[in-house]
Amino acid sequence: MNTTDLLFRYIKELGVESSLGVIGGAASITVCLVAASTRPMEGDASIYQLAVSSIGFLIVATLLSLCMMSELLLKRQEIGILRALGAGRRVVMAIFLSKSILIGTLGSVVGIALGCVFTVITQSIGQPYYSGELILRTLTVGCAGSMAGGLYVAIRASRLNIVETIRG
Amino acid sequence: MTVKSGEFVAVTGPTGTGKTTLLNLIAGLDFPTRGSVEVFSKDLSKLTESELVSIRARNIGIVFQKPHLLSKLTVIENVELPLIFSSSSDGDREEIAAEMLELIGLSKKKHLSPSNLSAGEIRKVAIARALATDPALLLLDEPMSDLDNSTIDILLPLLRGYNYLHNRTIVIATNSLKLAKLASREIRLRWPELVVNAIQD
Repeated sequence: MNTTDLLFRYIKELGVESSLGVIGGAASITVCLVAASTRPMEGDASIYQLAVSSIGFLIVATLLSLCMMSELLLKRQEIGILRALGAGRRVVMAIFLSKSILIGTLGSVVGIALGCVFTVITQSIGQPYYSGELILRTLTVGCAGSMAGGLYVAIRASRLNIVETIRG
Repeated sequence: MTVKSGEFVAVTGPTGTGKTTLLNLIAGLDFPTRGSVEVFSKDLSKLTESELVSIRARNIGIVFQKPHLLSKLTVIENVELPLIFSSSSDGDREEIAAEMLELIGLSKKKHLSPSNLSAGEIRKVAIARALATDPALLLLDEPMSDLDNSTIDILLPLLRGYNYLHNRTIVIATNSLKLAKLASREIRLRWPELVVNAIQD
């Protein structure tokens, strides 16, 4: 076993919190894509797109930070043990950051797929259009949002008081 | 108080007198509100985070009051954990961890989850994990609390040999007279008094 294996053990543990993160992220990205794919009747389309992307980013970042925070509460003691055994702050940060990026990416991919299907089915929401750029931008919003949310929790996790966390 | 290199010291005293806190301070897991703690001639409060991490990973082995094995890892992977952080090579890690388990008589259970072990076996794995990096300083907090007499009889010579043959420093927090007698020096903590040193024969 090496550090990568250890990270993988933590990342592949997709519990209830992670599943909720994926579902929440997917729902947010779906709404974001549907909103972004609908051309505004009036005004500057690029400002509208920027506003939708920003709101999407904030929602995904908030969701992921909540999801990873509950993950942190469950893993507090393990993090303390790893730190006491010699794990540096970077290892702890990598665990949380990589997991939140995985959850965010999964949520984004599912959300984009759902958004495409949803918009095609319900033609009533304006005139939908898809482009590689729009899908890529939505994916970027999801990944960047999850990274931002995860980074906040990762920093907090790496700064936990070791003795308090081991005590449980 | 001072502990010399290569000493085997037992820290004794009633519950709540600060034995665990003392070990945490020595391990750099906690910091004193007054005074200072020097380990390997370095004031721990003046070290950077990465220097502290390096000392913990390479020079200090810890056995906690509760064994704290990670349930998601197998027995051998638990023993390998500190070796990962001390940057041992992949091959060495497996070999050393296997040797450690052989030493404590658990090599047949190395691929099991800790949940399949008895309390005594879990305690033994925690001791093997602490010894894996061959630390210059070994800290043990009530290490024999879950063990039966026959296991204690196996582990006591192991610790004594680790101290005597390898010239490693051991600080052990215990209420066990049997264990305290094994040490070359006993430090009694008696709240609210300060440390009382008792030199043993």
